[in-house]
Amino acid sequence: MVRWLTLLSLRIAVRRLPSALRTEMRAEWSAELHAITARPGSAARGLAFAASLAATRPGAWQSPSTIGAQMSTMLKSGWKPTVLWLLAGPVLATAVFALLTAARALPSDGEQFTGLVQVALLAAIVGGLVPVGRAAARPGMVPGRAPVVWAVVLVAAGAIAADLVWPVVGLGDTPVAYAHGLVTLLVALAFWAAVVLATERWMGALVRRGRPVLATLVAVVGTMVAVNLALVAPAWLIPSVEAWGYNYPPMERTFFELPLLDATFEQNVPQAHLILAMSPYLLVALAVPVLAYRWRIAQGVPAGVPGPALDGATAQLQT
Amino acid sequence: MVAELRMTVPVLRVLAALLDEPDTARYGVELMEATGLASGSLYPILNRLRTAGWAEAEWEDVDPAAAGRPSRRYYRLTPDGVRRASKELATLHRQTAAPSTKARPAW
Repeated sequence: MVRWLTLLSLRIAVRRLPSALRTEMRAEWSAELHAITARPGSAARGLAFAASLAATRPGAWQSPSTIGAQMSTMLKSGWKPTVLWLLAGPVLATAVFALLTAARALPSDGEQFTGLVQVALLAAIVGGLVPVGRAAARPGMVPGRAPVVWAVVLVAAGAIAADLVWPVVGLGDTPVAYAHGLVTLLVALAFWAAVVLATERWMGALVRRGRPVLATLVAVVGTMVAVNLALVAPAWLIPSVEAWGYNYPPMERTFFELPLLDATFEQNVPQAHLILAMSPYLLVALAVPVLAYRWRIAQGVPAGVPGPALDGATAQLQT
Repeated sequence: MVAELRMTVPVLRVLAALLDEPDTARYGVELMEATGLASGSLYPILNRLRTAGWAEAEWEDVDPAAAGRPSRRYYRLTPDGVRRASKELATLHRQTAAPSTKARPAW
């Protein structure tokens, strides 16, 4: 019975190993078990040996410095795609935020001025997204899953951290306003993530069925809906958002008026909420790598592996 | 190339055991006895040490039929592993050493 349990535990331990290690570890542990059980009265020790192996976390076989190791692997597998995806969202959002700040500093001239700002910001968004989208279309520039996940996690963490730090640096929120801002932001991110994930699945299915035009339409509309929901859902779910002085336009107009949202906040809006003024651009930019990644997977091209045939521009980028 | 490795108490115990006689290769059960670690802790550490380039492993060159047992895998530190392990353990000793107390007169 003890021997049967020992061998069963060893089999479980081998099955839980990363596949690359199974053959060698099975041979090694069999030899070790033989050494242990060769001594008289050591059946229980053999069982303890095998049971301990069976109970080992699969993650224990990798270095505990998982984050560093993942980053290192990402950078080794191709630093250009990694950097592109990691920086696309924050760079674009920062650029637009800088434009907004600069626009606020200029003397206002009524509607004509706000119209100019709107056009300039729209141009900045399109100008920022077009190169990212074009780069995404090149097989060699599509990273593995890790950079995409890290891009989203880092930027979301950055947004939340900014919300956490905001009151601390003396921008004057009360604790209630601060907590309210944080909850609002989390609700916004949850809605964005849910719609983007649904969009990428639907879009991927269309790509697999050979419907690229329809897939593109789904991607664009899905991104718009995701950003709009992220902005308006907190107001639906948390009635007090309105009380803080938000002045969102109706949902069907929101996307086209994104550049003006910043200007519609009233003076009594909690400072922590102002992170949302920047989030539309961030959320649009972040959706691009997620959707591009799914598109490439749906086409059957393994992500993270440079494509076999590259055009001249991509070849230059990779050298 | 030697990769980074996070130092934990079990990792340091394994390094100390391997560093005790750096020229002697040891197999798993010997290391379990030397370190007091359970198999489920020891083997993942040995694997991480190998992956990071601190240790190397070698299969014993015996005929299982003649020896009456399967061949074992033996571990030892690489030269770079010896250097790095010595440094880590020295650092640990420095950090855990009791502060020097000078004998003072009782008055």
